[in-house]
Amino acid sequence: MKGIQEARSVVFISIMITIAASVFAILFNMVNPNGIDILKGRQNSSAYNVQVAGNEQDEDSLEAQKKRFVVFSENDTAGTKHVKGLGKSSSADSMSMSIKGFSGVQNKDEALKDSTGNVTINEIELITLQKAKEYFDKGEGFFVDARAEYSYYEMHIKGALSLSASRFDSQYEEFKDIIAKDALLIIYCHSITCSYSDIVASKLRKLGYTNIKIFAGGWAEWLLAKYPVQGFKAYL
Amino acid sequence: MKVSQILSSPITITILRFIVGALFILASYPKIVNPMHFSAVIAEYRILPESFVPFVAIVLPWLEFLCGIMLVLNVYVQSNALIIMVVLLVFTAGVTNNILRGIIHDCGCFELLGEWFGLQDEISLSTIVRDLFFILLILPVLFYGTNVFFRRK
Repeated sequence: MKGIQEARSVVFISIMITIAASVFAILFNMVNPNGIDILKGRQNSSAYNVQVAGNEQDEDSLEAQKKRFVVFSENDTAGTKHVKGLGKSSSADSMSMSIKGFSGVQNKDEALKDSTGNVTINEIELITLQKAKEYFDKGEGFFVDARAEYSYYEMHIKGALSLSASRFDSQYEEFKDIIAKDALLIIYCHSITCSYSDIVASKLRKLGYTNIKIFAGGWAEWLLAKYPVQGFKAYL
Repeated sequence: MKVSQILSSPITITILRFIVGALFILASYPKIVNPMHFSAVIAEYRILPESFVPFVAIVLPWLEFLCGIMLVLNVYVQSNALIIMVVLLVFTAGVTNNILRGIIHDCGCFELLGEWFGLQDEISLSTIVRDLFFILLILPVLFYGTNVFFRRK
């Protein structure tokens, strides 16, 4: 009987410790510059809101205009910043969205816009599906798949290389032998809400890669647009 | 001297507390500071629904840290040993599951030690063996440790 009471006490205190750890964790995450959004899993510091408007050819441009990117920045050890799009796209039409303006940008000096409307923040550019397809058609640059390796093997953008966020170090050993530091890299992951391309872009930049772009819509947009893919599930 | 007497001796328990506590403090630090990579690793285990991954990526390192600290300080030792045991069992199951499916990724275990000693921190059979070894280390602490805030003399 005493043993059962002691066991209950041990379990009860374990639960209390877990709750205390959760509270500490959430509070620390709020002040941690590398903290993540608990609901979406994205880095939550210094949010930039970027208004997104539909392309003139979009059938439902009004709906597309309602879509927003949240572009955020992260201070890394080199004191530079990188960006990533956030939002939700539900159809192939929304893939031709272009970023036309900012709202709520905290430091506009850090954000630049090139002639095609793509957003550039300190050298890492967020590109749209159209732009990604342009690079693909011209054979410019290397598409880099930041998703898990098994997802890559199942299906990926044709010709893409795998450099997953969760196995970066070992995959980089091969990657660095193939890809020059000044090569154009177009990094993508699952979709516009995915954060793995941020991680990979940030690590690559720290390692000296200078020409990095993030394909914000990622795999989901590419697949919906029925652009070329490959992998062992591609022809099933 | 019987094995049970050795395992239950205060000296053994103290040594094991310090070893496991220090390991978990070391394991937690890089994950607390930068939870992004850890969230990508947890997602790879595919144990949790995607929406829980960020929360667990934030909470789990703190749980490891608090348990490690309290083990070292001899505070609620059995409860902390129980938490560590559960965490290790879940991770071992996740690692085993992924290895059996041929999915290899970073372990998310001891990034700091990997950085210091230049070791690859990927899941493999040695990860399972290591986790089972840690479970064996924590068992005597769970059974023979104390569960008080501070021991009264």
